[in-house]
Amino acid sequence: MLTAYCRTCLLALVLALGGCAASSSNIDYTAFRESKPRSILVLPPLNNTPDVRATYSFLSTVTQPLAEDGYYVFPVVLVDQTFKENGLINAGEIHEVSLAKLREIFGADATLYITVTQYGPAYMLLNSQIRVSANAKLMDNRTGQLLWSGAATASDSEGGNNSGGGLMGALVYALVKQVASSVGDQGHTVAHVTSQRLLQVRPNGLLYGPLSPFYEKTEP
Amino acid sequence: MILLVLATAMVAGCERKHLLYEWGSYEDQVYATYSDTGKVPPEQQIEELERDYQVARSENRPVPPGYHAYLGYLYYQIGKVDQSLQSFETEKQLFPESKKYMDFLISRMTHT
Repeated sequence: MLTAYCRTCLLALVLALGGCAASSSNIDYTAFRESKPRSILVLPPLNNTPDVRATYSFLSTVTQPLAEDGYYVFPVVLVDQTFKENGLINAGEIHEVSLAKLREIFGADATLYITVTQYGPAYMLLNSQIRVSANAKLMDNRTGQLLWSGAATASDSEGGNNSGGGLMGALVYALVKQVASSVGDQGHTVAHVTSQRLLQVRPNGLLYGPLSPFYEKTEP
Repeated sequence: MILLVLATAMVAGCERKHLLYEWGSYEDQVYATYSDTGKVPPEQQIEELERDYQVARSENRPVPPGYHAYLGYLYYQIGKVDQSLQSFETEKQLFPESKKYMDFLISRMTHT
C-alpha cells in the first residue's frame, strides 16, 4: 500500500517536472499528424544491458504514460503471450515481425519499439548510482513510416550532493530512494521515471492522442 | 511528509491535467507477473484488480486500456473461461480500438 502511494507521488512529481520543462521543438511531426494513430502496440523492449530484468521491468512501466497521453495501449502481458505462443520468445525475434503482420493480428495503428540501453548500477568515480536509459521509435503500421523517436534517462542520484540538481532533483532523489527500498529491484523504480520522461507528451516528445481531451489542441 | 507537500505544491503550480484513468495496481500486477522476487499468483492479482475496479466504479472513474483484458487473461489462467470471455468483451466495449485483438483472443479460446 505504501509502495503504491509513493509510486503515485513519484509519478505526479515526474509529470510536474515534465510539465514545467520548456524547450523548443525541432522534430518534424508531419507524418505523425497525418497518421493520427489511436492505438499503440508496445513490443517487449530490446535489452542491451547485462540485467535480464530490464525488458519486463521496463515493459511494465509504459502503459500509463502512453494511455495518459491519449492512446489505446494494447495489454502488454497478453501481447507478449501471443508472441510466445507463436514461437517468438525473445524481444529480438519479436522486433523482426513485419508491421503488416502486427496490424493484421492486433489491429494496431502504430508500433512502439523500445531499447533499454542501461539498467542498474552505473559506477562513478566516487559513488555508484542506479541508472535506466532507453530509446524508442514509433512506426506507422500502415505506411511503415517513422512517426517519432526519442530517448530518455533517469538515475536515483539526480540532485544528490555530486550532481547538484537543486530542489527538484533532490525531490526526485528522496522519493525514488523511498520507493526503491520497498520494492527490491531498484532499477524498476528508476525505470518508471525514465519511462515517463520518454513517453509523456513534452517538447520533442509524443503528441497527444485521440483519447485525450488535449488532442490536436495543445502544441508540444 | 514535507517532501510530499512540496511535490503536491509543485504539481498544482504547474497546471497539469488530472489523470485520465484510475490505475489502481494494474502496472504493479503486470510487473509482479514477470518479477522473480515478487511473483503474485493469479488469484491474488484478480482479487486486487477487482477491488481496484470497485473503487474506480464507486468514484465513477474509468480504468485504463488493457485493464479488463489483463483480468481476462488472469481468469483464463485459473480456468474461469466465462469470466475471461466477459472481461475481453468489456475491454472491447470500453475501447473499440481493441476489437480486432480481443476477437482474435476470443476466437482462439472458443475454438480449442
